[in-house]
Amino acid sequence: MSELELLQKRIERERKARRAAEQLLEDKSLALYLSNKGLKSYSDEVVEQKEQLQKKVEELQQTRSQLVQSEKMAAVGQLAAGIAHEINNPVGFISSNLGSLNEYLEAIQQILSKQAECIELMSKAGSSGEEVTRELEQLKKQVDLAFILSDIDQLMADSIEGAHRLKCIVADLSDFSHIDGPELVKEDINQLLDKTINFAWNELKYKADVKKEFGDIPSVLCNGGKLGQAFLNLLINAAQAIESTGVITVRTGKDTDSASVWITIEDTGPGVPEHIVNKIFDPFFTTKDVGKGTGLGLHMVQNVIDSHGGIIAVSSEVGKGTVFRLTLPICLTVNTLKVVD
Amino acid sequence: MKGIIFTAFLDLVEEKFGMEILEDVISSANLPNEGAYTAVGTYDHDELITMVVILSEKSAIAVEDLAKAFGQYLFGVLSEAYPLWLAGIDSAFSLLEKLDDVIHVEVKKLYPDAKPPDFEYRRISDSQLEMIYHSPRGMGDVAEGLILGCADYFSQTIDVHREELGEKNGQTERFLVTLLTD
Repeated sequence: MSELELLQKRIERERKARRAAEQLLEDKSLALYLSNKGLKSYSDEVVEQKEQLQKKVEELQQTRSQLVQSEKMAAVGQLAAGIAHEINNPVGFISSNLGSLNEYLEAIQQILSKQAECIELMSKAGSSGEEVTRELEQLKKQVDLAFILSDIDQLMADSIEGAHRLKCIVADLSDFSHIDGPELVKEDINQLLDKTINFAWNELKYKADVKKEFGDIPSVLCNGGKLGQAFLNLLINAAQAIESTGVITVRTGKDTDSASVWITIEDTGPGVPEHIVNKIFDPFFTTKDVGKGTGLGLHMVQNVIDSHGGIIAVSSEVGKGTVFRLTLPICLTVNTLKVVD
Repeated sequence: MKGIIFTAFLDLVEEKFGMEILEDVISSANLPNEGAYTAVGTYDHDELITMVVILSEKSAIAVEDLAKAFGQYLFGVLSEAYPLWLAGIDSAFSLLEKLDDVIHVEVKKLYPDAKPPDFEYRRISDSQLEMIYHSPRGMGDVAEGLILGCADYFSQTIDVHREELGEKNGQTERFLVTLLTD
């Protein structure tokens, strides 16, 4: 084969190879076009799905807010009966005291009127007024003035004390109802716990002896309303955990570096089994019967503690009880406080 | 098998044996496309084996030696065609160790129909690397040539000791690569 023939063959082969390459390029371009087209419609679909997901997320957030609200309302509702009783009691005896005081007032008015009659007669010439004075003394005996005067003191003291109790209940209620807004105030945690225990007393007293072992701790910059709500949830949970009767021990203290304070709420309930202890802060996790709990209580507590830059931990032993330990930094900047539902 | 391997083979034959032998090999092989290969195409690997066997007959050089020499040549072609896959690699061992997990993975992304061989690795020491080659094509000679070409590329000298494994049909082989100079 001559060199020319060889070259011709080579050119022919190269040409064929070029055509094959061009065909491949054509095929690939078409495939690319179709795949781009597919991608475009896929991308449109993804955008649409994303929008739908966004809507669902918004709906879920709304539902979650509603559930959180209903959890708050459930806690409040649970306490409402107890609070009604708390209010009813002083209102009852204040009302009864007022009834007695009204009767006493009538008796005193009678005596005063008789006394006035007596004074008037005695001022007239020639009258010794003996008759009227005797009548007055008789009246005093009849109405038992000595008793009335001593009882008035007691009734007034009891009523004042009752009114004071009502005032305290109303103040506690208003503390718990003003929990919104990131208002940071230096709070005495021991006092806040005291108030919360008082507030929940009707829920607690039949189930548990509440022992307080409060340490000498510095004030904490916090949203007292929200923290109170968190303490309330933990206390009510502790009471509900106790099957018949038991002990709830609330302790406070400060860390050695004095940068944070800790609070423990311990119950002598049945404890949380190990396989679920890690789930108890999960939203919607509940061991209560359907309709009895939303499963948001502890989740909300965790949110509140988180929003204060604090830590919540739980340790539990089946058959012995559960301890929740909260650690809160003493200094909290406004920026640290996240918005909590 | 990817077209670049075929075009590299034709280039090698033309370069080392001349145009006449090349035409002879192509026409004797009765290739479906008459040797009009394009680097981006995909072809049956049997066509390459046929050409190597014919070249061996015509040149009186053993098939194994031809395949090994081709592998060594092919590495140079691939390194020029795909410089990105060599970026940041500074020795034969580091490239060989990346072959299966990085380079062949990328090859498969680029050419979903590609079927590169699989390798298992064991670094015995700083200067010894064991590679187990698996491929139904049984092209251990070309693989050995590629390993040698790789050492050439990094200006390193190596020794490759081969041992057939399994059914001894060339589909599974152990390559013990020893670095002689750094």
